[in-house]
Amino acid sequence: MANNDIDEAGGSSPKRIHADATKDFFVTMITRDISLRDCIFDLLDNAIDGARRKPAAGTAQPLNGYEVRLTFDSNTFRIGDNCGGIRLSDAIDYAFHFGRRPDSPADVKGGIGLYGIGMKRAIFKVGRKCEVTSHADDASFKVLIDVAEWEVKTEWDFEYQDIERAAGLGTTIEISDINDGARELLEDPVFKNELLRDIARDYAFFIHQGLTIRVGDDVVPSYKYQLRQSDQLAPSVEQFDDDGVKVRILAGVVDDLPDDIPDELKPDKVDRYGWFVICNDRVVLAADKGLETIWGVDGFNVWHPQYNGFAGFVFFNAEDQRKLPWTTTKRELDASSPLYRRTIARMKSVTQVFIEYTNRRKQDLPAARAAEMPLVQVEISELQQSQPFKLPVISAMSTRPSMVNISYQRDRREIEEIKSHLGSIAMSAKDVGIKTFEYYREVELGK
Amino acid sequence: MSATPSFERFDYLLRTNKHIERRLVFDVLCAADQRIGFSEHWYLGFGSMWFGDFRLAHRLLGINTLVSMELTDHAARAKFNRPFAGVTVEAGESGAIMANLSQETWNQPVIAWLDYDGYLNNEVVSDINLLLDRAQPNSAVIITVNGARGTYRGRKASTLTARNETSVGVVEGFLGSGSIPTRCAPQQNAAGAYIDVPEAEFPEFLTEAIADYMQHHVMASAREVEGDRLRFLPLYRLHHRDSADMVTVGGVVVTEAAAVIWQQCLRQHPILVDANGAANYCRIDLIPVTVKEKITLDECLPDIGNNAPLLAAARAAGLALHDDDIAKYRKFYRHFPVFVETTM
Repeated sequence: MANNDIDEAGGSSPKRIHADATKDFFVTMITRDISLRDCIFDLLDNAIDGARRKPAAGTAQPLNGYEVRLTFDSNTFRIGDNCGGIRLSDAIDYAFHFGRRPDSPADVKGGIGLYGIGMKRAIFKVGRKCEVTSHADDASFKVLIDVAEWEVKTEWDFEYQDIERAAGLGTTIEISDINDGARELLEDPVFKNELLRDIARDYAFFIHQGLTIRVGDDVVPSYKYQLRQSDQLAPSVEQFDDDGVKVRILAGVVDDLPDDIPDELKPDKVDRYGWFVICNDRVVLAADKGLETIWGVDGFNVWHPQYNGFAGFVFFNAEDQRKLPWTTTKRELDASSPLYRRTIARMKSVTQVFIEYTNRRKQDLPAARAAEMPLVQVEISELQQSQPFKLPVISAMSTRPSMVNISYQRDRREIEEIKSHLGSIAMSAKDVGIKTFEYYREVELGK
Repeated sequence: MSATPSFERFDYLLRTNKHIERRLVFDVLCAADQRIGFSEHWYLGFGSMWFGDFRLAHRLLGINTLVSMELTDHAARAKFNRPFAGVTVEAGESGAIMANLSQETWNQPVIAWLDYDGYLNNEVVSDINLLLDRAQPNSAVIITVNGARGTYRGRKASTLTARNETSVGVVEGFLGSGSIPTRCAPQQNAAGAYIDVPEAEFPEFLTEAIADYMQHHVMASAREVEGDRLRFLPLYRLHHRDSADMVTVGGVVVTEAAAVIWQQCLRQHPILVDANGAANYCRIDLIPVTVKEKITLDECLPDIGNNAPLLAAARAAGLALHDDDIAKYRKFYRHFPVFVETTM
């Protein structure tokens, strides 16, 4: 069928295809891409950026005096801080805008807020009603959001009200009419415990700078990132600049290395091993043992329990946080980032040194164990000078004792009885076998 | 874990604090029986040779189908001692017995009280998981395990204590780190050794960790009945001490609507709840009191206000118990048992 609109160049005059955003997309779709925990972390990030705008001068703890308080139950979620508040001018033109506007003022240097989506996404994820109250240096105001009402309106803007000034500057976000999925988590005590633990781990570098974070009545404890050091053991430190981003790669030993592979491993036993990626002091990936970093990527070894005890840390620091290789959830890395790809190559290189050592140490495990004993635990923040990975030198034992495996089955209750008698109910069945064998040698053979 | 089963060491029915605990547990169930009704329920437990809880389940709650699990070596004696025809004794390990119960059995709500002789371990956690996964709405799941810190903590005196060698670390190995309240998590000292929770605080910690675990397990499984999401409502965080520290932790698998009813039943027992109406840690460690002392104290009770009038009256009557013991008696006197010897 002939189309009379087609001109000689082979096309008609331009016609319109609709591409408007819908509110439903923001309320119900993008909230699926992020966990409740990471939404809460987005709100924490905003508070920390506020504190970073006015750091305490002349101190090693520039965030001293700043505090973020989280409280929640099945009815209400609340986060409040004394970190400076949202300036009214920013709120009107930028903070509530969906996505960062091109004319947005320069962010706090080295900040962790980035995409102009975190606060709104968190509100939509958690509940249907919200009150944002801010006391900033230019004004005090509050914004009331009723998501259901807002969804049916044509315009996208929110309304704000001026309120009385308060003594301190800060922001409070209180969300009610909690969504079903979020409510179940917020009343789950394990969610709260894990949230506290994850905040301790992922915001450790801010807490070390003096920031206080409370969850309910609990103050988030200070989490220590340390690596072992001795005469024969020292972490590697490598650092370089890449297009305005300072990169620091640390790798070392954080725990005893295994002599053999355990029968079973629960997550808690290995949550300090693997690669950690930190962007502008915020932990993005913790204890990664998969494709997000190096494991199984382009022919590199997949993670193996033989590597238990290894920990690596990559710090990306940039004044312009858009240069950092993280995604909008701040929980994943952008694998297409050339900066990240270049860094991964170096991470693989240093990890290979460790992997080869784990094979080498099998030649003389007693000597390896002795050499690996740490003299000190070094805070990773103190490791600022570049140095190579130092691992014990292991030479093959001249005469290896002839070894055989012993394997047998006994009634579980008898094993439990011996565990209890030995005073260690958590010991493995294998260790029960070793202890009872050693006991026989000692008592019956006098050895 | 002693090689000799506890029923060969003492008569379960003659332990003061265990008796009080049992009465507290059944108080809440009796209150719920008035509102929920247990005519469809069955009872599951370790009746041992004494069947103390089974007797209460039948007499107080009217439950007619009761299943007792007993190790094969002792099952014959247990069968001889079963108090009612409605009690059946299943021989074997609890996990295997429960896994093999028929679907028709599990389709009915259950009151399950697994009163273990020993400590929390992976098998106990597996039993908890199985019960919580199969229990119908308005089922109660209760466990009792050893609650002494020394039972869980390794007796290792060499080198630095590792996290998994602390009592909390051992429990963490069974329940997962998420069940460990942050304030109890072992912290490293300057030398790198992990510091354990104080001995006196361990039973309370253990009740909280197990209750949190149960609550989380049901939430995570996202089970629904006729469109209503099921949740676990903790009812009991009890610690009783007769010859050993034992903790009893439990609650009910409920819909949101039923949770309100159960909460109301729980609130009728102020000893068991905190200011917010949530299950509260309750320590039951009374010393044995003579009949004469009991009669003297009971004559002053119930009193109003603090302990002062009772203490004054007790002193006036010549009672020589410590103030603390009188205060404990005052708290639990309605459940305090009297054991008398009789000639049969």
